[in-house]
Amino acid sequence: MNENTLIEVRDLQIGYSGRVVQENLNFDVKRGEIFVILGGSGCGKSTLLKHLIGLYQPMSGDILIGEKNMAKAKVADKREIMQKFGVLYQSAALFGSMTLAENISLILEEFTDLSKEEREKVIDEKLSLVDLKEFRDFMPSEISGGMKKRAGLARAMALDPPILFFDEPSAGLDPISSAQLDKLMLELRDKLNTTMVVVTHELDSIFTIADRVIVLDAKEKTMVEQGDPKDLRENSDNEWVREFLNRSGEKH
Amino acid sequence: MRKIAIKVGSNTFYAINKAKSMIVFIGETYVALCKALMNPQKIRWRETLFYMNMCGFEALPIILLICFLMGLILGIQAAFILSQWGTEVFMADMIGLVIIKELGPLMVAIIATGRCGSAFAAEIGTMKVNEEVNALTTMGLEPSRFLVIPKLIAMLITMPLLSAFGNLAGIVGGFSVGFFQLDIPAVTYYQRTVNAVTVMDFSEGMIKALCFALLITVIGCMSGFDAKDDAQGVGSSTTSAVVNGIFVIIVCDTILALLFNLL
Repeated sequence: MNENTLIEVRDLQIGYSGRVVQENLNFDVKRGEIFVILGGSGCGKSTLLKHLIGLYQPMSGDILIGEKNMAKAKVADKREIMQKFGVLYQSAALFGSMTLAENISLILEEFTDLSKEEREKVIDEKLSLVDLKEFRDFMPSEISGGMKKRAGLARAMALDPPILFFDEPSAGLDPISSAQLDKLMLELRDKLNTTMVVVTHELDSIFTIADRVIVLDAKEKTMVEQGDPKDLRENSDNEWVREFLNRSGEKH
Repeated sequence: MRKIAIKVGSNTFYAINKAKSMIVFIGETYVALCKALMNPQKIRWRETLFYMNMCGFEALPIILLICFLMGLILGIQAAFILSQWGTEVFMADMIGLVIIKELGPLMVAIIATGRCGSAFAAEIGTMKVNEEVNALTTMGLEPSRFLVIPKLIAMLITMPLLSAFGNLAGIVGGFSVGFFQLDIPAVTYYQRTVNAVTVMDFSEGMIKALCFALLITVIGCMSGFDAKDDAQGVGSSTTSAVVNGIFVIIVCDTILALLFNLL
């Protein structure tokens, strides 16, 4: 694997219950880039993400994260690989019975030897990054959807992982909250050089944050394009991709 | 006829697969419990205390009431039958044994299935819908250690205690009939109960309570993990936790009763 490549996907075939959703997937994610997986509804974007993060077992192919192959890893190895990345789920997936601080503390308690004071310091630092320090003792049910996403992001960053995965980060957010989240992602990438893999079909977000995209097609059951989204919007050979990216991309 | 055969066949396969996955889940839970006990600082004690309170302390009033009424009903029926032969005094022996060996732990288990098994299934099912279970997995944590072990430890501690209290309430229920309806002196009733019930009988009830605690937790949690990712799925998982839980507990009770009779 190239030194500059963090994730390498080779000949990946994914699906469930014997049904192929996507196949012949080949792409790399470079260090420090924001890589977006896009496509129409039902094309398998979130399914691909769940395979990348090890929740589903691929039908065939390889998913190399660092030096380890997630597709062929045993349960214990998968856990080790999983500590190299954080995930922000569509629903934020904060633990409802814990405060925001406890949500972050949980992962620190499990994987670090930090003292209580040191943990508190890290919690404050992570919550400050997402501008939620004053909400540290709030329960997830007491904050808004956008704040939940930011808190989920703070938790995902608790161990300073080199990779962050985002599943539909803008889903359920108003345009302003969505734009704030995009801005935050760009800031974090610039500040921490974190590599981000984002699943979305929000064109506004794609043109704001993406360095590179792959486009999945439900009919072809494979990726039909990859590259710079602005470039693909103008120059893609695939008419459907141009149409997809121009639907609201005209204003950019 | 063919349709009936297909239906019976598919249901049988479904039941066999369900039983298989339950055995696998019990095995995994056992391994996780052993690991947790070897490393007690890794156990989520705060959650364990929460479930002990929820499944134990909060359930106590309803368990005392139902077991008392069960003892009362048994007493009334026993009084009616035994008085025909003038053997009312044996009521104390009968109620003591039946409650301590069988009905106490069984009634407590059925109530616990309704209260705790369903709550476990709903909680884990909802966490699954909210992707919290996925979040635990991708954090590199074992969902079973986080979600099952605190519940299991709490149930293994509280079920025998609840059964002991339930036994006591049931015996008091039977005593009420003996004392007030049949005029059996309190001392006589007490003496007969103490003579009839041995430590072995009490242990039998406690062993059953521990087995039921394991089954209620495993079936409740498994139903939650098996829930489909929607509101209906959570509802169905709660129902199946209660229905399967009660069924398996009664089957287990039958097997244990046969085994203890052979010993």
